[in-house]
Amino acid sequence: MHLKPNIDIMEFLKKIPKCESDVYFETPDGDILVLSSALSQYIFCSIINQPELLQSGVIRLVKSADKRLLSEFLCD
Amino acid sequence: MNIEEKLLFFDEMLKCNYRVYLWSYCPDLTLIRTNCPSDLITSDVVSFLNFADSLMEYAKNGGRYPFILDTPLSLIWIAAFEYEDDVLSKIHMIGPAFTGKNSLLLMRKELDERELTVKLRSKIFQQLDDIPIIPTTTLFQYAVMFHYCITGERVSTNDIQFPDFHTEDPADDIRLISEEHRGIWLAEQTLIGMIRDGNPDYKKALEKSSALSNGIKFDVGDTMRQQKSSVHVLLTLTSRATIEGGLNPSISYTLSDYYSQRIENSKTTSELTALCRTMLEDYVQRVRQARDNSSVSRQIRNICDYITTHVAEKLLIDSLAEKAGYTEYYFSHKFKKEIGCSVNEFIQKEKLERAKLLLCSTKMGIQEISDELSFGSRSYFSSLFRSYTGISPSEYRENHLKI
Repeated sequence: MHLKPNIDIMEFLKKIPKCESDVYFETPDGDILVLSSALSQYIFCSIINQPELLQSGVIRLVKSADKRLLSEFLCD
Repeated sequence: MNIEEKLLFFDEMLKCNYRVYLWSYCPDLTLIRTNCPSDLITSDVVSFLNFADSLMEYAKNGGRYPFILDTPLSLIWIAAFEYEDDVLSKIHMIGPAFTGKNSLLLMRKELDERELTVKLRSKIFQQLDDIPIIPTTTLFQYAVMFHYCITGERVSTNDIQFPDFHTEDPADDIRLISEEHRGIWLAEQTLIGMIRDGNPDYKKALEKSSALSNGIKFDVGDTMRQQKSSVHVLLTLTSRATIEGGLNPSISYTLSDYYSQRIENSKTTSELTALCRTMLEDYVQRVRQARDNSSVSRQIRNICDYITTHVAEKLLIDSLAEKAGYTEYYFSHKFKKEIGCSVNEFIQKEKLERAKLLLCSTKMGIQEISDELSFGSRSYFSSLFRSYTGISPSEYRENHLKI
């Protein structure tokens, strides 16, 4: 799954702690960030200024219940 | 100058030393403006770093003093509050900063462990290198100046406020009392007293103290870290005790800095243990040297140390004189001249000091303490104690019990 364009990233990150399991962001270069970690969030936010990287990155969820929780931010 | 101009001027002044940025928010935490480049950190820093709740709560409770906001990433901001007619009109922040080189190094180390690609890691490192390292004391002084720019009010660094982290259940006195701490106070006071006096027999007291406690009880999941923290505590207690014992404060503090660094540099438990021994011996020897330079002779000092160490025994002047290598008459005369009191008065004072310690740190009965310290009888002990302290042993225990 990918992030929808023009979403509020902060709102998206606020939802992460409510997820049942880890949420991963994988960049096209192969970097994997566990978004529940403060440091990963810092890294994630540091690439916000590169929208193409955000859009081309993949969001990977472990539990399907989390897909419903984050549906407003994600697309296939 | 209006507040905005003052803030910009203040920010320019800060930038002479550190590249910190100014952030201004509405009371609902909508960002009004910042001069922080967006590639350093996201402009929505309040949401990103979860500052909103603590800021809102502080402001809601009428907080007006500078407020420190820090994060698990070791980044720190200062918030100050602008009121108009008692209504909050703006929240201003300066930051980000690291408060120590270690914070930055730890963050870099964590990044290294994440096996990020070189491209991403270089980008993050570059950002981190742009964040200034400002010592906490300097940062707090900036907080005071920041507040002054906005309010015109002079406050002190003691007025600076921090978020309330009391998320756990309130401390329960009963739960906090651990049986594991029984006897530690007595052992620790004995050890510290001996270090203060430069008494070479401190090693026995150290052994007893170490047998009762391995140091700080919190589990940090890192044995070396835990051991280092315990040795730091011992170092602090030692350095202060030796100052009381006559060591020049400058020497003691310098030694403390030196040993702190060596503690941190230790790689193994055995290295740390050896260092701890060297450190204590060094301090004790220096106290002895400082005292040797005083008007008290080495022989009399040794006898004082002997009395302190063997205070629980029956001490006779003739055997003490023999130990010092003097006749009883000459020893008594010399002792009084150098110490300022007679040998018996000194022994009595040491016994009563030990009795005070036993009363406040053990459950021993009055009779037991009297017997332990060879006072002869409970009534004699109580009478001496009252004339020394002004109160009875029972009253003293009631007022000072520490277990």
